[in-house]
Amino acid sequence: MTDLEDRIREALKDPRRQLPVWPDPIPRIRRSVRRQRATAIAVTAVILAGIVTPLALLAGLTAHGVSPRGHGPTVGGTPSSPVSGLFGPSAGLGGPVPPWAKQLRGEVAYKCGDRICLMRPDGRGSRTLTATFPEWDPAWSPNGRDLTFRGYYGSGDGAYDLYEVAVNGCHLTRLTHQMNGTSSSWAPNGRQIAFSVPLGLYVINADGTGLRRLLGSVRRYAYGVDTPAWSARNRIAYARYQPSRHRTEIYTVNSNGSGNTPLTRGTASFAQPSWSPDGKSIAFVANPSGAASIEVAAADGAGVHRVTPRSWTSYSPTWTPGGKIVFLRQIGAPTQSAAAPTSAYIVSLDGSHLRLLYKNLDAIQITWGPAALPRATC
Amino acid sequence: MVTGTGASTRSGREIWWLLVSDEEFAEFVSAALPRLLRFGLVLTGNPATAEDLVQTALARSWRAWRLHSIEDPQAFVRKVMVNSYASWYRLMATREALAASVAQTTVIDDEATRVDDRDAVWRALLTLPPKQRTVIVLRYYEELSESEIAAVMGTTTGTVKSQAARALRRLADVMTNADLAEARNHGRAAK
Repeated sequence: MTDLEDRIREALKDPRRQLPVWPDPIPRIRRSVRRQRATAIAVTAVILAGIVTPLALLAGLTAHGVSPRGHGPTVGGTPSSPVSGLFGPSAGLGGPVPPWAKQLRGEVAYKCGDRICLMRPDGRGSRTLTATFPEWDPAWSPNGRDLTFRGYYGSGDGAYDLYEVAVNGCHLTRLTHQMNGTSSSWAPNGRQIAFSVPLGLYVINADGTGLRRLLGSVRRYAYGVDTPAWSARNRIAYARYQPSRHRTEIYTVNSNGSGNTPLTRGTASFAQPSWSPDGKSIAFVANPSGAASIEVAAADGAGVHRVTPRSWTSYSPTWTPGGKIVFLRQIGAPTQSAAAPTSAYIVSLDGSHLRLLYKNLDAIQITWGPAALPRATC
Repeated sequence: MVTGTGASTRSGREIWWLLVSDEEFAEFVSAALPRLLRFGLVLTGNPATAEDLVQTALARSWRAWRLHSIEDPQAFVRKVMVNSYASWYRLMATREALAASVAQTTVIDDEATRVDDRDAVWRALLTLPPKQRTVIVLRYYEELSESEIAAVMGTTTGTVKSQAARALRRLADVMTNADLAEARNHGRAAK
């Protein structure tokens, strides 16, 4: 150790050099988050304008970026739907959709950047939700006409809450206020919605009334609750994290709060439960913080089996109306400012017929709806 | 009942971070802020830049935590600060105001010599290019090893070694010149 090194160390650790600690740092950081997002949007808009405008001009279309009804180019080559109300045009998919995707029933919601995008299974009718910013955790209503999601800064009060939007773009309802709710799931009757907050599970009516707590961590941080999934047989599955054990398990509970029991138990963690349309099977992510894979079990937890390759990192399982499982596969590493790139795959319940569905979707969440996506013609 | 087979020492951590509420984030910020601000100050040498850097890094980290798991939040924020500082510095045309931030403290007697020395070293540190300064701060303030510094800065250990060697050489030169100048001043005053 040289004298110079000692002097450097002493100078750097000089106790006189202190900065006053901010008395209330969170609002300050939130402002910075907003500024960063505004900058990112502006940069993205400039880049998109640079790409889309020449394409539109070349195609002889107007330079406004919104296509005529049912036609027109998007970046990924998948036609955008006419949009209105709470939806804007979508940038489209990152690659071509296989022709057999037209045979799939239902509708797709996925997280595209900081927003939620909707489309039909073949990529048509794509649109971007512009109700709040950012948006997370889309969940379809049983009839496929409404979508709940977690929105941020929607009312400018700095809280993220649960919102409900009609997928035709006509209605937006804020269901919770200052709840910091996370993901949600609809009851099979379409009249109630379960949603998690970091330390509890709540149920609220679809019109925003009748809020009640189903489960809650009585002791602070005793356990965390995430990703509820309400089955057609009225069991609610959710991921329960216990900090003392550093493990997440899937639990199921009746819709009245009774019968709260673990579905999974083991040395690995489990997360993101998703019920099959008939409520007889449940898919979930095993080992979510490691080499995550999708496993499927019966409603009572029996007959568990893996349906994705062991070497993949797979997550966000969801079911098509036909009983296939769609999930995301991580195809790269996350960066400090963006999630890992992903592609979506589809597989049968027994793990067979694994096929690439959406290449380079780059979503971190995907959820499949039960009905045909209506036009956004509010 | 499902029985898991894969062992994972970090089980549930990713989910836990997804669950991080504003309250949790506020708790982390509250605990880490003094250290982050101080790291920002020694890294930039300027209080205003340090505050901006910490604010920017925390905002970026907040978003990143919601997207994927972070092993060590404080180390993650520190890395974002180092990277942000490097990119900011590239944008800055001059190193304005860096030299103007020497603490104004009145200290007497024997302590005065040590304080003068610390200030002299601090001033010398401000003359370093940002990469060299970052290496020095990570090595002598954060006490990181060369491989750890390389990981934070996204470079190789060879580059870290060469940057550190250049920085120490430069600091030695600057401080020798400063000592000579001071000696000359004392000489004039004596005459």
